[in-house]
Amino acid sequence: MPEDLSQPPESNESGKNWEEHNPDIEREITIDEFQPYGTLTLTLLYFLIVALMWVFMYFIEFGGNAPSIIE
Amino acid sequence: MTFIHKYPKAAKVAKANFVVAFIALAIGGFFGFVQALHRTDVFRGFFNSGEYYTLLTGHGVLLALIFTTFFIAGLFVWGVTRSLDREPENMSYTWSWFWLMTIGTVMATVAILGGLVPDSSIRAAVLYTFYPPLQAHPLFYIGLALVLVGSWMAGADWFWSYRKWRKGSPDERVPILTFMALFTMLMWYVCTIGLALEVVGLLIPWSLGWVTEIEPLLPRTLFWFFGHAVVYFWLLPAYYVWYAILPKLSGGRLFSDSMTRIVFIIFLLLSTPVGYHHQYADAGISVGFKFYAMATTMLLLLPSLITLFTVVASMEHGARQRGGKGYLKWIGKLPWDKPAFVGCALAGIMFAAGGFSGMINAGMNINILIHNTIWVPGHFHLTVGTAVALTFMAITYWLLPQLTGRKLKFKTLALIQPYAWFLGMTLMSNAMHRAGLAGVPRRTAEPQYSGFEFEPIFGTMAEMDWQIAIGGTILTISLILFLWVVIASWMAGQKSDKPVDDHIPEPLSGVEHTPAILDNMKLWFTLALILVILAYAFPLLEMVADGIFEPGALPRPS
Repeated sequence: MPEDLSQPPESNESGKNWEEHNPDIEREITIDEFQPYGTLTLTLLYFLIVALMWVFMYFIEFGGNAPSIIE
Repeated sequence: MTFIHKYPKAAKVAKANFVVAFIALAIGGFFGFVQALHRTDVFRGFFNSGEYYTLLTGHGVLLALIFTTFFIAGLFVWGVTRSLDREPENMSYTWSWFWLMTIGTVMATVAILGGLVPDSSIRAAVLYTFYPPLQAHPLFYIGLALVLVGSWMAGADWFWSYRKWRKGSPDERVPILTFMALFTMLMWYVCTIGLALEVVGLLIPWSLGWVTEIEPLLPRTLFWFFGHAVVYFWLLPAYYVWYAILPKLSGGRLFSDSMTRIVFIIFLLLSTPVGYHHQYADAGISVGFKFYAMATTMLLLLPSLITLFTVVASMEHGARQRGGKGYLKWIGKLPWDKPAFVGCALAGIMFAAGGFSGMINAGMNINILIHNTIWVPGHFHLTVGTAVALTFMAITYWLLPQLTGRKLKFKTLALIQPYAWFLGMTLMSNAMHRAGLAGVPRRTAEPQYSGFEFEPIFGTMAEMDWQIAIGGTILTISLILFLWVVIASWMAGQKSDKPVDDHIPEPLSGVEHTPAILDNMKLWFTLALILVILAYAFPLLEMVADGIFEPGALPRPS
């Protein structure tokens, strides 16, 4: 089985050494080393924003104790 | 060597699809600009308010149906050819679906633009939803039917390539780029059943005068059978880009092959049985089926949240490989000076915001708050108008060099373009959402209603109108920048054997960790059909019980 199924077989760049050939990359991080704390932080922030928006919508719909579109 | 040198025939087809897509984008985008100025009453000199609906139809159809379908066709030709390492099986067949879609597009566009010709009998001011009793010229419906059939043939082309590849590689796993394209097309086949039945079975006979009466509810229901799933037909190719290419542009790898496949399977299963969430206010459909649609819609948040995790984790991996540190500081190490990356990343941020308004739309009770207000266009300008359209524009900066063998020109303008789109859409969409909460209607040329005042929750109506007009203007400038960069690069970019780094590294957690059952297309396709039958069989039977062309419900066109 080829290492990289998105690549045509004749590609000589495929495989795990991509990072070595890429000048932008300082160091390769393997799956065992990678701890996505940043993703967790962003996800929690998003959930917080969504929760606040729900509260905002609640007040728009129910806060006035009256229908908000048809007066 | 890049794509065009390895696969010259496929490159030609992909480019042809992009040409049609970008022409549709230019015309539809201009119509959007006119609408933004017209309905906010900033400038109403382009067209009169009657013609506004022709422009609205052109904007919706040319952008939401034509731009997307042709871009997706070009994208999938690129992805399937590349990942299976084979050109399309028969170029006559491949070109036949392209030309069929193009002829259909020309027919539908002529029908729409006919509305701008005084005293023309050819008109199609039926908006994107083409609800009866609004009636278009037959050219419009027949044209759209040809686009649909052409898209089916395009999907068959990719399945044909897959079958041929499978014969030569019986034990290999489906390459991820092909997997995503095929599952998107399986979903497309399921959801377009509704549109085909509506257009061919009802609207074409009605527009030709063969049938004098049709019940509004049946075509409306068939439309929404298709009408929300089509959103995922636009979105999944954007996911295609975010999963397959964005991690590499970030300097990392796709986090997980398995997660990617699971997300596409969930979309295949759940995309279609959600249509009633557009019909919560429609009489004639029992509340139980609406509730079923709400449940499946809410379940669709799951694959989007998996995508949030997988794509952001992939980007974080890239940033950390580029030296990123901390909980949030790593974001600064992402390549914010590369147009393809910036466009995709900003599109993703906008999609997260659109996810919230989507939850409001999906809820049976709170939906009533925003139903048929301009909130809804505010929502889909975040999802389709940014998450999808901006991703497509941004990835063009990366694909075009591969398809033409020419380097991108005017990189600074290309970099400004996605930021400008983000700014313009932030202004326009937030004002649309807020105006919707104040009750401002959608699909309306002159929503100001003399003698009536909308009451915003905060801010003023004038401020919202200006935000919409200024936002729409910035979006138009961004669109012109995009077209300028594309045309200049395509025509006069510097030729090169390797005009862009087109290598895609393997996923961090690769296909060796992916269960084989995820590739079982027959299983997932059958389950998808069963869920659709559960959602739609009984209500549709109720609607046609008194005869398809002998409606029992009013109002009805006659």
